[in-house]
Amino acid sequence: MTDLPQQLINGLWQGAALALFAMGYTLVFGVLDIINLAQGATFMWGAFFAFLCVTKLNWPLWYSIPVAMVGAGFLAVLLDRLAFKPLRSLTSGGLVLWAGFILLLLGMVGHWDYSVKIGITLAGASIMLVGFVLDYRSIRPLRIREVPHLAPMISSIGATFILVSLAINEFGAQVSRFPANLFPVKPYQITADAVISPIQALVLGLSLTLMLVLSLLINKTQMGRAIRAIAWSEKTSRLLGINVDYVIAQTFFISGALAGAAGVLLGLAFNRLEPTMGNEVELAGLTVIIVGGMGSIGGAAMAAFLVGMIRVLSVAYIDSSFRDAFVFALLILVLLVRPSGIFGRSKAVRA
Amino acid sequence: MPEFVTNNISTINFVLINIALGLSIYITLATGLLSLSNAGFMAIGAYTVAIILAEAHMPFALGFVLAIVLGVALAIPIGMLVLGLRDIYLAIATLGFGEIVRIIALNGDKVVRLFSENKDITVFNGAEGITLTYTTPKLLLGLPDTTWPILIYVMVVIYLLATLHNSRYGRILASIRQDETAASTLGVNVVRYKLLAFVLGSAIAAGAGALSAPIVRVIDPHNYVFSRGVDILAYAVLGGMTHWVGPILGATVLTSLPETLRFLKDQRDIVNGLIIMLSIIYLPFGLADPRIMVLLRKIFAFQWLSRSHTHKSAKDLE
Amino acid sequence: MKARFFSFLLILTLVIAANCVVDVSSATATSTNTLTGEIPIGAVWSMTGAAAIYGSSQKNASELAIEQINKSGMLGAAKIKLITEDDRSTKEGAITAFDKLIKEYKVVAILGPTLSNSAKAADPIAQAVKVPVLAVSNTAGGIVEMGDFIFRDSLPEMLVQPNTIRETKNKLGFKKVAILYGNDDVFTKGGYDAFKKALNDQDIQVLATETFNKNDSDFSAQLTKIKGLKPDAIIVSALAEEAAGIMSQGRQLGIPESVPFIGGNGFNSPKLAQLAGPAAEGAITGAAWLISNDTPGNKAFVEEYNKKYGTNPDQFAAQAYTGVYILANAIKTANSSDSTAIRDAMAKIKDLDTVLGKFSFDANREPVHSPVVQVIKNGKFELYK
Repeated sequence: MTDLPQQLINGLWQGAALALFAMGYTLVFGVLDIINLAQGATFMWGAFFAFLCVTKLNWPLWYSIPVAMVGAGFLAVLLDRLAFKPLRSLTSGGLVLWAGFILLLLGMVGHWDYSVKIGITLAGASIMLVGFVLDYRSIRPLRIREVPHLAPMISSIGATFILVSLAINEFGAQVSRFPANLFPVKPYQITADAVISPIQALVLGLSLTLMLVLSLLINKTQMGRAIRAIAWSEKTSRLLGINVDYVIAQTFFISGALAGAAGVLLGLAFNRLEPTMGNEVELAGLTVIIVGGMGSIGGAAMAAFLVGMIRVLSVAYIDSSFRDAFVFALLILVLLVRPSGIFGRSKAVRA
Repeated sequence: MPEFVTNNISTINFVLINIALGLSIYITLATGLLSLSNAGFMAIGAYTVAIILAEAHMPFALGFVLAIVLGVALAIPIGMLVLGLRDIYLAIATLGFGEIVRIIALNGDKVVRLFSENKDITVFNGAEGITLTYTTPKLLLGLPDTTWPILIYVMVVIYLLATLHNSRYGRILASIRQDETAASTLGVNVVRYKLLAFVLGSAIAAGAGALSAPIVRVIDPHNYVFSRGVDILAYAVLGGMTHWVGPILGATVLTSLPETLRFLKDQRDIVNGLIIMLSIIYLPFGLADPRIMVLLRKIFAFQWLSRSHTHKSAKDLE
Repeated sequence: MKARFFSFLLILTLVIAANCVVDVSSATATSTNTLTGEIPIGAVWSMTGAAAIYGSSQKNASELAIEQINKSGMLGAAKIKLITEDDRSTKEGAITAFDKLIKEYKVVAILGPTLSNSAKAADPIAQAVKVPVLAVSNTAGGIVEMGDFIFRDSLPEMLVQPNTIRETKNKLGFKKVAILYGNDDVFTKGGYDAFKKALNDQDIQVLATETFNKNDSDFSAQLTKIKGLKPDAIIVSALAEEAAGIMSQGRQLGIPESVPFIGGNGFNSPKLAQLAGPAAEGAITGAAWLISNDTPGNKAFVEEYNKKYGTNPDQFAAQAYTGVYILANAIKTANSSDSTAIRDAMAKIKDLDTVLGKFSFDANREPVHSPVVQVIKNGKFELYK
């Protein structure tokens, strides 16, 4: 049991990064009632954005991380416009956006000559931009829709496939890593038996900071109030004059930025970047938001530490093979005993 | 048998299995339940048959029956536990169950060894899985004898679901999907019917898993990862969740697509993703969209009407 | 009701038929005894899915080899046509790929597939119609036992690791070790079985056995446990990505440099040093091939591969490359493109010069060549001395 302090430290910083990821997840759910299963892909792209900044542009890390967060945020907004918004209302701008997107994909993955490739990709991107603006400014959509409740979830699954494939195209299926000398490696000695490396300390510190920033944002700013209003009731918010569409975009931006941050931090800490890195954190994240209560940010944070600890401790003291089973068992237990989660608002969970 | 059947017999086998799996999730979707545990029940079916054939050395038929019985036996308590949950929570709980099945398959030997004297016993054989020996399939009426059971099974399931669709029970399930509260105020025992649908779906999936064992022949946990459950859902989503033809279309297209699209090779996943997204956005009721069916019916009816019309007028002229 | 049912069945059949577009290949497989024209050879690699990283090495290496063979005129007037199929890292994919290669393209031999379990699912199909299969990356048990048309050139862990343990024990003299292995992958599990047996046979005490899953990125829990037990060495059966994570996290947690990491075939990739950086120094691995091997053609192979693909080849590439040459040699010796003749010629291969060393097949069609033990010094693999 002498390694307990170390195991606790392990669980702590991993839980912190997981919390970042989960908070974005739960934010989108609270506002839109959507489980965005493409959050894992956003997480992965955030990590790769930072990777590109550091390796291709030679920017320092402290600069690359915010840039990556912004990039991931925009990616999340784009995701909403392509995957989720058409399910709420079809607009002509939305159709144009999709046409541009397909053109962009053709350009990116097709085997064209270099100049043709650039041409098609740029054409696709510009059409997308036009569509995006049109869609945003549309006052009267073509059709307001009632789709099967699970449609957004399924749409996000499709989006994940696309995002992961694009990453494989760009970076290859293999594992990449950040260059070696970004960070001192020598671990700090905390107690007699426990160490924490500088990167892990950064993960913990940055995660906690971002969580604080988020809670300030939600509770103290105008934007936060608007988000909370829409989470409470979309219709009423519209009546109150809130530009619902804009706030939804902001929500996605925040959730994407958080996921991107988590991606960079974990990619740094484990020194492992690969297009499929979103899968594992996705399932853990899902467990976290259910245990913490869907829509509760504080709950997600606490649950993330809990889940992080369980993962580490179950490997340490029981059996490494059953780690995932424990996490799922916890998930099912919570669903059965207290489905609204430990801190959740008791939205109707039981039919 | 036409050449394209013999050349593509393995694809046909897999299409048939996936049709059965798509139908298994259809029955729960038609009741308004998003249950993603079918990959887990498929694993149960496959492992049962594999263990019966490879280790107990008993005939396949016994394994098949046992698989279905086991599927039903497990589905009842699981169903009673989770069916009270709404929507997304149900989806996640059932997905979790599927994952647990896979983890048990991967690590089951450790538990078995706790209870047995033989400390080297391998029942599940972990990551390596159970391998069934290959026998060249004999041709019966043109199709290999491994394909016939699956074809018959699919036809039986289709017949069952089609009958259900048009019967009183089918309408009750549809009413639960449309509005559960209303249905229960009308006296429908919602819990019982949901359980019925869930158990039926799980049994079909277990049967499909059992039948897949002799074809895939290597039963390991990797076959039943989380993405398999998502694939099954995609069959139903693409094909349409309101009519039993939907999963048939969806499974056929999505299974044979990778084969026909081999020229796209690495971009297969992007195409898959696009198909899922585009169909859910622009065809939310799937290919078997009831509106399309109505339209088709109108077209055929129109043709039939116009033909009889011309006959009439031609006769008049005489 | 009945009519509707049957009409839907008809639609079903039509849909299946429409989807199974059969593109007729222009391969002409001559079953005569002269070598002319195009000889179709199939290759099944996992180019998408979980094993895509290995499949791409194998694809690259095999294409390089075919190019060289055709250019060199080794087979006289005949040329080899390589038809590559992707099995998507699934058994279904492997089965359908084999079917397609055999029935449509009428290949005379097949290389691959990448994964052992896919091989167990698909190889019997080839065996049944007497098409030889040469496995270049299957290291599990039960492969060549599938039939006399199934060969492999990839040394199974059972044949490599006893040597590794013996050599390292001699030089380092360790008495107690800890083992960490991936239990959800046939490759790494097979490595574990081999290590366990070798350690047992050589009376080395195993203090702890920990496991992890493929694609895991966090090993801190297992490593913390291991660190506490103070082993003399840590045996790791993992693929390069996980191995890199294990080593760097191990050092970060404070496992001293005096405790080396010893690994199996999975370590043998240029990615290991790339990903683990300084933590990879001193890592020892028992493998089938060393990049700096002084074997015939190896230096040229590494150079050519680098020139064409921009990176160093790994062991998967080396074994695939060798596989193509083995097949080509068999075709040449048999002087025929008949599958059975090729198989018979392959079975008799003895001391063939390959980049893996002098290569032979034993009576059970298993590979016979000397394994190596190597260590990472200054970020590069060197022979362990």
